[in-house]
Amino acid sequence: MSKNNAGQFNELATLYEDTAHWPFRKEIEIPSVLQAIGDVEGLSVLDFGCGTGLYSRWLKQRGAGRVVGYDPTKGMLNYARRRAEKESPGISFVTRLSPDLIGQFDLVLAVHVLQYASSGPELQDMCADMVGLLRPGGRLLTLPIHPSYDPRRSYYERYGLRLSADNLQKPYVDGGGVRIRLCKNGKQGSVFASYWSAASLERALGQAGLLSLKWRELHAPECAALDQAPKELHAYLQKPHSIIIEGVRACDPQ
Amino acid sequence: MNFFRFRSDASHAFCSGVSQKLSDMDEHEWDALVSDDNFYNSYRWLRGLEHSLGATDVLSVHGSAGLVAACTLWEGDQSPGMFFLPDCMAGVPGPWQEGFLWLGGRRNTHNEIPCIQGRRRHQALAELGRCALEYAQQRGYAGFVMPYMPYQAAVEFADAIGGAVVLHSAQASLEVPDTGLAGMMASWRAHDRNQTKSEIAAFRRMGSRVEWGAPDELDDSVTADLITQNRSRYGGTQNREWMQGILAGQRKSGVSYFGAAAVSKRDEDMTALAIFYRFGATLHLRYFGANYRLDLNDYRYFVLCYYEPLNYAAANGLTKLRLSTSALRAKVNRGAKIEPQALVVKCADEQKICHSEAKRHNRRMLKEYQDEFPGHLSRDWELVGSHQNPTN
Ligand SMILES: C[S@@+](CC[C@H](N)C(=O)[O-])C[C@H]1O[C@@H](n2cnc3c(N)ncnc32)[C@H](O)[C@@H]1O
Repeated sequence: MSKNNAGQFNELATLYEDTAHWPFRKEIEIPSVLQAIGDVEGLSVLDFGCGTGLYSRWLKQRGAGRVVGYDPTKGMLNYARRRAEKESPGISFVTRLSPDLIGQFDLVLAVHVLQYASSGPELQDMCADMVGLLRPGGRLLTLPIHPSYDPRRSYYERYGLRLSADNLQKPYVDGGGVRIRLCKNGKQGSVFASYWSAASLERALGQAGLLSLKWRELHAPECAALDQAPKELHAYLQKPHSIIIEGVRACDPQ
Repeated sequence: MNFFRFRSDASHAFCSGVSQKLSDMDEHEWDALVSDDNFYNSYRWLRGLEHSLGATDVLSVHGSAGLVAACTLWEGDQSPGMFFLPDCMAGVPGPWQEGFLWLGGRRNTHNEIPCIQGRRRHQALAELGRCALEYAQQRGYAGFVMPYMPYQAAVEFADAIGGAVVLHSAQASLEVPDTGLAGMMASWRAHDRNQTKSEIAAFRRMGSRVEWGAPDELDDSVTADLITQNRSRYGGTQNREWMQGILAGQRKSGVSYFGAAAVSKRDEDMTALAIFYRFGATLHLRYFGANYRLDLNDYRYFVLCYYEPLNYAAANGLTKLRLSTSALRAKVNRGAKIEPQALVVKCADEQKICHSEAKRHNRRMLKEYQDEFPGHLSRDWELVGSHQNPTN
């Protein structure tokens, strides 16, 4: 698998970790993901593209058994290691997937990672890696860029996030470039990502052996309906930039 | 925060500054730049020193997304010893009696620059060096040094800043086998194996045993007393109160959270202790202390500093044991490898250091170690050899 896109994260660890406190993640994404995951007591979990390890730490703190964080970017993993050894010891962080990890996990979580596959074959390889880590019957939860995200660069700006499609006329083309910029409190960083359509994502995950695919929209779990959510979150909730895809590894891989 | 900006013609993307204390920096942001081996430049270790010995200035380089390189500053020691520049530079002509700025934690025997990984690492190191030189010149220093660097880290830093690399020390370390001491002994010659067995047997015969615990659970005045007894035996001049202050600083900074103490006891008497720190996959030995009022010949030093920690490290998933820079022969005889350590120096006046003299010194030192410790040198020494060609 090419990890060409991973290197662009080397300087972004602190800024990225900070996003956990930004409303679109804090009030919407993170609680949606934790709700979708459910009880993790005793589960073995691999956090694929774990970045600074924020989900890894939470899963460990919520009682997960074995937790492995995988990320090819050293700068991210350094942050993850240093922080976890103080706050959630017992997580192992790795920069490569060794063969002994294959088929070992009840749950693989891959948040904001699929968009860093820059070609169809890379997307396929990444999905195969994720699914291959699961034991038969194990669950994958992944959050790509939402296939119908808003490609206008100003849309998410108020959330500290700017997504701009390279080709505004044709933003929903497989493999199309999307520049993601994070900007808050004077700090900023940007990375290049790729757009993948729902059909391509389903195909890649299906070919990797994932069954029972479900799409779950992000929401604000604290609020029963959109109009009960704080007003400033409405625009994001109407067009979240990401979405949860969930599936189960086939018992007899195809 | 007193955060003033240096002019940066070389790299517009970075902004460098000096702050007057470490607490101006964010702990997690700092530590994101600290690799497993660089424990003594981690935030809590440095903050512990700050609590005990007072604040020092901190140099930092920021990119648009945050901190990319940083280090604390001090002045070295002004009397002979491990942190006295004329001693570190013995054999290399230069202005070492003049004042130099020292980079890294105070009295650190392992230093790497906390710095980002990846494409812009070299640039970030270069900017830190530029900023250090400017700081040094503004305050009348003759230049700056960073001592006790692993050889490769020293070469990388020197390359980035146009400095010179001078070998001046060596550090012992052990790769920890999964099976701990048993695995280590299995790889030794029968003579060394028997020696270790008899040392452990003697320890037990004297009625001594080992207990592991957190340093925080010990009485600091007792810990400080034992460590000071040991240090004064080897020429240390600091008293027990000084050491107690260091331990208090460590409690306050939270670095003692990483600590592990191996204590040897006879009945309820504490006869010796060794204090380690777990960091990443490495166990770092920092202090040994002993009650020399008890005249025991029970090998407690070797039991606490080598044999027991190998088992402790293996049981805790740690893969490396880092020992200190002293008594290398005894360490080598018990399975340690020796790693070269270098000082990086940058003089304000480039004429004051002769690079070919530094290389000649490095070749001499390489030869000495090759002669004295054949078969026990880490692979970095091969690099030392290949870099000292006068035309390189
Ligand atoms: C936006 S961050 C997400 C981090 C983390 N999952 C979170 O949600 O906080 C994306 C991460 O994916 C990693 N990444 C990029 N390409 C990857 C690849 N091919 N395989 C695995 N991880 C990759 C990057 O290094 C980066 O840390």
